[in-house]
Amino acid sequence: MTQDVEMKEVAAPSNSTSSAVPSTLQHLKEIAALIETGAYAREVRRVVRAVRLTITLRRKLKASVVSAFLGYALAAGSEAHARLVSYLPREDEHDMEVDTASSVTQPPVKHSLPELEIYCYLLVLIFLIDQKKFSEAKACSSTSIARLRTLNRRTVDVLASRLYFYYSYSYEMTGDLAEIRGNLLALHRIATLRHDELGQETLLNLLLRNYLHYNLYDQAEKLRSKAPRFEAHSNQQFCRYLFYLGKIRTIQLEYTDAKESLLQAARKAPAAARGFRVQCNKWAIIVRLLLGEIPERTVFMQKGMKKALVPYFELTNAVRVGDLELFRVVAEKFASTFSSDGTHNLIVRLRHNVIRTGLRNISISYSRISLADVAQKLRLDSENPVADAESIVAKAIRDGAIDATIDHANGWMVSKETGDVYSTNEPQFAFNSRIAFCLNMHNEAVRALRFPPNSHKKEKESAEKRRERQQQEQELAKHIAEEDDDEF
Amino acid sequence: MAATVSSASGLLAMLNEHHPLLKLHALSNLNAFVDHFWPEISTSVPVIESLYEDEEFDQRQLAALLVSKVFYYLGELNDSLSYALGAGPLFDVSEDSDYVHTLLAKAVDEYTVLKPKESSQESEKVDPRLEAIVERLLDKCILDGKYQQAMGIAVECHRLDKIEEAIIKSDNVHTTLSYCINISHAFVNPREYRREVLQLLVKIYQKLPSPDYLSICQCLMFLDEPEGVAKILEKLLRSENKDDALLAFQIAFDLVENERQAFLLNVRDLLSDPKPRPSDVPSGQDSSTGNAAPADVDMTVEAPAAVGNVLDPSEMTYSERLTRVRGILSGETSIQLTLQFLYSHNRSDLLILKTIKQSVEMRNSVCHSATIYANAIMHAGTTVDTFLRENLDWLSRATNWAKFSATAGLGVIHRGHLQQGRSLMAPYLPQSGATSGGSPYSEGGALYALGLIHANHGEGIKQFLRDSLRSTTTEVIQHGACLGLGLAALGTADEEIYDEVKNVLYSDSAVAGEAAGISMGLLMVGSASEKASEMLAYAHDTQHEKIIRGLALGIALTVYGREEQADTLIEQMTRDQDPILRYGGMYALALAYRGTSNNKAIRQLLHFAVSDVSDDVRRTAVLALGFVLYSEPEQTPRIVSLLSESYNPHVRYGAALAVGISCAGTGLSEAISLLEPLTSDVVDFVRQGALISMAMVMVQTSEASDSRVGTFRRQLEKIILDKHEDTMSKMGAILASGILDAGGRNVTIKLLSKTKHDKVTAVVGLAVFTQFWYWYPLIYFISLAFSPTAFIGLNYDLKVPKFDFLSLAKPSLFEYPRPTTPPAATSTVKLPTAVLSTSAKAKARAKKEAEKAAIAEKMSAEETSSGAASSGKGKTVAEKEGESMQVDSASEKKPEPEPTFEILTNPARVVPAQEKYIRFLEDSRYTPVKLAQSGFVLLKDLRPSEPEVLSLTDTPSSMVSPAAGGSATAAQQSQASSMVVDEEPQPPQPFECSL
Repeated sequence: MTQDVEMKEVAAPSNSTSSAVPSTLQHLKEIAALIETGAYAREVRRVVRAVRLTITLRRKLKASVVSAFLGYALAAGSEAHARLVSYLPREDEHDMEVDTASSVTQPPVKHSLPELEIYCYLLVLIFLIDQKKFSEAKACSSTSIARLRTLNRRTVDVLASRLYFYYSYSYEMTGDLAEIRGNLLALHRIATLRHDELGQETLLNLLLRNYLHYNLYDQAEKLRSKAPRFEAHSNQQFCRYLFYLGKIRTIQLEYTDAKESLLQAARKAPAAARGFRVQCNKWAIIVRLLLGEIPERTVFMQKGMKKALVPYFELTNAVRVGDLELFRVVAEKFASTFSSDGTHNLIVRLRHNVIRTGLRNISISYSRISLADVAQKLRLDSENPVADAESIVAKAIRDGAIDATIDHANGWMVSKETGDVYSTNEPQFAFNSRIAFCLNMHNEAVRALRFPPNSHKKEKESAEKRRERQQQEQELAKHIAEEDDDEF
Repeated sequence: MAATVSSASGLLAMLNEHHPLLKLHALSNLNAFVDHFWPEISTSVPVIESLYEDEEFDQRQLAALLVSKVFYYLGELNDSLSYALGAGPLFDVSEDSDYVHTLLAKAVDEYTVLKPKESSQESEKVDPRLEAIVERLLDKCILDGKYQQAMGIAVECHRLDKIEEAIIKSDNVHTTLSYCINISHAFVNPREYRREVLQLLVKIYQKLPSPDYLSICQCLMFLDEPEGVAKILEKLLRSENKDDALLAFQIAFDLVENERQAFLLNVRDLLSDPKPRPSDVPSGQDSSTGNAAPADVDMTVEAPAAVGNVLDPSEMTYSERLTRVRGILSGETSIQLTLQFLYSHNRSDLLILKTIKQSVEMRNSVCHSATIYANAIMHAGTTVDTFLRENLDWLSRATNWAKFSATAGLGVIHRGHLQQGRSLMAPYLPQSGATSGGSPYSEGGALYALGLIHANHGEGIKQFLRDSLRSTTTEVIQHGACLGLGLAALGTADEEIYDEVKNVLYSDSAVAGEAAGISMGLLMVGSASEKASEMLAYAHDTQHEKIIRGLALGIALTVYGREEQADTLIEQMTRDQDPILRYGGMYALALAYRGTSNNKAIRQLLHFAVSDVSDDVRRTAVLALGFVLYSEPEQTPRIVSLLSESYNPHVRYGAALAVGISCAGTGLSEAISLLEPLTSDVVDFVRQGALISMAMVMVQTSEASDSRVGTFRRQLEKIILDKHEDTMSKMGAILASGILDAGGRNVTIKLLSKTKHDKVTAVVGLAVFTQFWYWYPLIYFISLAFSPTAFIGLNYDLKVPKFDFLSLAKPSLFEYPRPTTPPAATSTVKLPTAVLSTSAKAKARAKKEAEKAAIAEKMSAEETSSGAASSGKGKTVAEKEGESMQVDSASEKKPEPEPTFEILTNPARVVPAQEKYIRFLEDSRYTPVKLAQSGFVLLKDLRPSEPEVLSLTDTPSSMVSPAAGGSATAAQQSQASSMVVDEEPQPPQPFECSL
């Protein structure tokens, strides 16, 4: 379940030279300034940008840089500073000297903004996770969460939601997810009370992930359905939510809804989050198969996913052909992949679909076929294949999978003529759904636009222009009046 | 356990067991882990609920608590609260958890919603358990010393007993009380309830050992209880202590500031006369004096001349004081002092008017009259009519209605000139001998002018105006007389006058009917009488739009300040088919909810502003927002900002005026920013409205405090001089220059008194002023909203002693705008006057500054001796200035650092923005009775033995007479009046002939 957006690109050990150190530090200081202005002006937008900039910087982070920044942002004697510095590993002496020198040159401006403090926690946490020091990360995140509970500021929300995420991630990496479930629930409650919707979103996702990690689908669904709803704020969080939702629904046999959520999640996910999209696609493929659809070949040929999707491609092929034997072989061959993807139990469900697809193929190819032949074609190897075939066919007819009748007396299946699909409403429905999709997309794009404030006020007509315009209007009016006169 | 258990399903299953012990175990465990498993438990809530409802189950309350918690997690706070109440003692209010905090907040919310309903209607009782919780909270609040919070919640919950408790238990009862008064005016909504709160406050006040009579009387005024005020005043007047008398005077002045004529008259009449007095002067005399005496009202008539020797000394002093208080209450003292102040401090710039006059085209009558209006407004209340006298030929170009308004303009200029008003206007008044040579227009105008002079203090002139109204059938004169009567008898609800005006209305003449409608409204301001429906019925009958409009406004005026009581009438008007009546409905909303910032009213107005089909109604709806919001001027620009960008010019116009009205005199930066683009709007009348509003906002704001004032002045000049500008915006610019320099640059527009009460006359004046859209002569109503920006200190004799105080700000921040300099090429004709005035001014200034320097020196010397080194700079500067003055008083333009303070001498101009810088000198001879920074302030004399130096002695005050020992005679009076005539400019006789 490595579907996380950023996690895919875990920082490679940075090989930047020491010249990068001041520049990174400079960047961090700029970010700090950004957070400060954001906090004073209560503009959450700026804090969001600060977080985004930090993510781009994470590859370049080094212990020295981080500790220098801590010295800059936090009061030297403060509790937070002492605690955070203790998490950082000591590096060689030389680097440290450089840092102290650079921090000394800074005017000792001591900020007491809670936003900055939280940001420092976040930075250290990211650094620790990138260095794979998960136990320290756990400790650091726990203290930061404890600090967060005491703060109630809207500008902190953005930072807090990132912290929640890394909090859960560090525990997941050490396999202690169950420990923090209660904490997450409490945090979710607090976020709800404070109307921190971003926090609610993040925490709900983390909780779902937490439940699903232990296959507690029932609890996850109950929480999901009971938690307060609101409009999505963060695209990433919404993607995740849709993905979890799709998974829950798949398990609960609501395939149509599940398909919708999963496809939407795959579509909405940013291009960089390849791992997440691969996961979404895997699940979507299986759900579609369960629905009796056969995904197009292009789905498997998507850039960068080809290799990951090979097992599913072969599986699809087996289902498409309706060959039970082939299906069994594929399932066995890739058993380890499927179980690591958590899709194994779904593939067991698929067997039924294979039979159905085979049956449909038969029904299309033959206008009349004996049940014994059906059993043979489906390779039903039970004790009474004909009776089995009869019951399978009967169920398929009842489910509407095939359009046929059974002649019990003669023991054969009679397919009905398939009509022309274009004479039905089908194309219209398809067309309609596509248009609706496009319109929806357009509306959302428009809604997401930001207009510069008061830009319309600048274009004020000057007195001269106005006079000119009025004169023109009068002339025009006169002209029209004259024309009217001419007509008589 | 929490870590190991991953599901609550086991416990939930246990709930269905039969044995109560099992159920109990399940419940208590679930209760402990509810924060982990609430999503699961929520599916089983019905089971637990049934446990709670099961009478036989002995742990019902635990079940209730669990259900409450689950509902809390589900966000269903209402259900959660009701179950928490069911949980009884298990719901621990002192627990420190989010659950408890949230529910407590919810409980208070719920209670504040339920409690007021309970008292008003027959709806069900509030849950006693809920009440108990809230009461516990309140008690805790009071115990913790958080009185303001406790009071706020108590006020909102309509718990008068708790309010009282909070106030009495607080450590500083006086501050708590004043806080309570503030919140009850700002946040307590239904008017009835506010009265209850105020009654309670008065009760508490009276129980205090040292009652704050100023506040009590303010409350009593709001409650409309003249008896109470009269009782207090009398008690204070009878006191041995001179200070108490001073306090009584101060109370009287504060009451006068709110301009409730009927109330003040009531108080005055209720004050009992000196006791052992023979029955020669009946107490009802005041009302009859006006009728009997042909002369204007004069408080000296009241002077008990014949009583003198009969009374014992204590009664003597009482009657003396009584005379003074009555004088104050009748408004005459303050009007007279204001008049003197405005006259002596007049700084109007005639050059501006001259420029306007020269640039206005001869034939453009709109701009011509606008110039006359501007002149009147500029000199409102100063009695300076130089401009008119100098330009008689030019003035004679006014014909018909223009003549009407030109004559009426004199009323604005001489506003408050109660003694001389009638003789001033005499040449224009209709002669009793019927067919006189005067034109009806000037006669009507003169009657209107009389109304303006006596606005809200029309005791003496009422009868004359009634006679004039009765004796004429000319509609123009009727028009003037109706307006005049309405103004003079503002808010008195006088039935007889009303009937007479009604007769005019029923004559169904458009011109007279319009004025009659307005006049009826003015008479009945705030009375909410039955007359409104009568007026409404006639508005439906008549065919004349003018009459309907007049009546619509009149009806609106009757519901002034009535808030919810006016709702039926408002509903009726706003649903009418006739757009003019809907338009009146907007005014009714505006006036009924004036200054309350009532959300409901704002919502309604905004709704009409965007949805009505008639442009007039929409414009008025937006404009009315200004009236509703004037108590919170900061809000208005924000609320109307979108409307000011409307596609509909009428809405934009309304937005401009709304800002102008509510932010009048504040110089608020946001308001100016909003109006700025509107002053160059594409539509001419929007520009007009924006210019006028801008002037209203900027009045008395100096260029030093906002540079945009200077820009605006230049913009006005440009518009006026521009030949191609539209007439409409040109007129706006001319009026704006008038308003900007109104009242000789010594008045501002104020709709709130210092005690944050509404000033009736001012609000009504502005409301009628906005009618100028239809009828230009109504522009003069703006003069009712002017109040002088003055600090006038008075001693026991109600005279203005010499008294210095400090303004801790750079003088340039609040100085008068520089007089405009004539362009070099001006004709020499005007030069002499200009030279004269400047030299005189320079001389006066030099003298004043020399004095000032001396005082500054003295003061700073004292301060340095007392160890305050901070004033060192000020001292040196003052000294330097003083020296430079001595060296050369003419060339004073030296680049010197500005002093950081300024010494003002009583009476002084103190603009509203300056008030926070005013400080009183510690060792001054006088100390103010009340810490007020402007207006009329009574001064306590700490060294009564020394002789007093009076300022303003040059003015002819007829209040000399009571001071002379209550022996005023007719001779003295006439002498006084002749002094007035000597001292003030003669009425502009010559141009009367030309009219």
